[in-house]
Amino acid sequence: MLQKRGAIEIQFNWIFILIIGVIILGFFISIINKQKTIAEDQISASIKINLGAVLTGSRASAATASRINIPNIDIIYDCDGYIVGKANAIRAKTSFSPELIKGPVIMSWTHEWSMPFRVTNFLYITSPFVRYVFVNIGSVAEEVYDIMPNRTIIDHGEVKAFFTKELVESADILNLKDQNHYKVRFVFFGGTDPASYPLPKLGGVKRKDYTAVRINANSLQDIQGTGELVFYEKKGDRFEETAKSVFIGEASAIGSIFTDDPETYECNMQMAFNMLQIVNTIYWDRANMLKSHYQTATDTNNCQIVYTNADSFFRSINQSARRFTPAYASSLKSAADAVMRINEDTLQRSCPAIY
Amino acid sequence: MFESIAVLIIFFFLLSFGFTFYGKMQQISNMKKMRQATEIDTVSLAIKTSNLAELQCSIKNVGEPNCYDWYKIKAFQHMLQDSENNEFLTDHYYQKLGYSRIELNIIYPDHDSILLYNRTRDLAEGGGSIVTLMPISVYNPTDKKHRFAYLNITYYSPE
Repeated sequence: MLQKRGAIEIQFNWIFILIIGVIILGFFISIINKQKTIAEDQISASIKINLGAVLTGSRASAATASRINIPNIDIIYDCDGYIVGKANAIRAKTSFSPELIKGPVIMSWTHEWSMPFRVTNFLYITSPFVRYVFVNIGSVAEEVYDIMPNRTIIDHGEVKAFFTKELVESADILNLKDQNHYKVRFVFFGGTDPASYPLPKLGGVKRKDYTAVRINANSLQDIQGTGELVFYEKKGDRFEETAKSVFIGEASAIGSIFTDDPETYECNMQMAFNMLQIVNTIYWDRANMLKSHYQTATDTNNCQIVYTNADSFFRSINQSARRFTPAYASSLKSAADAVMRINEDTLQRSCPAIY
Repeated sequence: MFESIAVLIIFFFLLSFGFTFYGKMQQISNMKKMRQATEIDTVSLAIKTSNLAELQCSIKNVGEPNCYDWYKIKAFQHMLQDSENNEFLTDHYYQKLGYSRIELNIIYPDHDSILLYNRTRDLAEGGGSIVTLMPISVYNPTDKKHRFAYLNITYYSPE
């Protein structure tokens, strides 16, 4: 009897140990999972804060390029900004990037957008693992290729990959070899139809990451004006047109090279237009105040006339900058060019410049 | 059996003590990181403020660093004063400058104080403020003279 009781007690002991063991194990596993989630969120937040600060600093000066080391994570980009992990998006107006940027290094470059006065610096962010192929048709391709950042940069005394660009003849497109990039972007110029070229097989690149843009310009001067943009995506072994838009100014045309999503491009250009309205309002009011000053002060150089002439063009800029469309872009450029000519006039007359 | 239970009770007691200690350390570490983030935000704000295209001196788009144009300042003031019903404008500057107060104080040869931007956080909700002073020159294009000034930038942090 006593032996039977002992045997049952041992069995209960083991069951008790098993249950407690499972509870303790489950407890520690849940702690580990929670800690893992917290650590990932902390990393995302930390990257977001530091990246945001770096982007602010980068944007402060025009025509500057920098190589930024980040953890080996993916950054998603859309109109809301840059999204790192689960952190809120880093808002970055007038910023042009591919939809997906892979670490551990990113490249940032800024270019001033003036219409005709400086409105903002456009910020371009990409990765050296994105390949940009400029198709050499006409002289403009080479000129734009030379404007783009260098392929390498000297970082702490070492030469490192910076911006992966190449200039290829149209006949050599099919001979391009896969170099293990996750994204490839072709850039065409002028009236050439990208859909007429058979595409090379680049195994590592997904269909949506194999894109092109055609910038309808035949010279650098055309790029500094306005023109049509056409976006393409790979379908089968050819490009297929997906969207059309317009560029206005060199910075905007360059933005279309970096942004593979036409909606994101248009969203950023609309933000640029909104900022233009603000800056234009200030310059307009400033011109009016200068005009008022010369109405009461001695005006030997006839400065008043110049500021009066500019009035209608400032109004035109504000009206044209309400919506980013090809028609408005064209009228905006005309008004901006007129303000630029009037500004030259003020300088020749030794009057305070309009901008 | 009761011994096992006693051991378990002591074990869980030690575990909870350990976790409380670890939690406290994490809290201190997080507060440090938030302070760092606040300092970064303050510096970012100062950089953005000193590089505002709508205020910076320029000739033919060549910007002059650490310089504000007097007439642009006045135009900027007018624009923000009339912006009460302009949701886009208030939203634009809120996104750019956040909860902060930016005041331009002219100190030589005359004295003047101009409030450029003001959006305060309700301090009853908690949080503090960090003040940054930045020297700047104010240029008048009609008399072609510079005045010494400084920007008083107060950043209202959430913590």
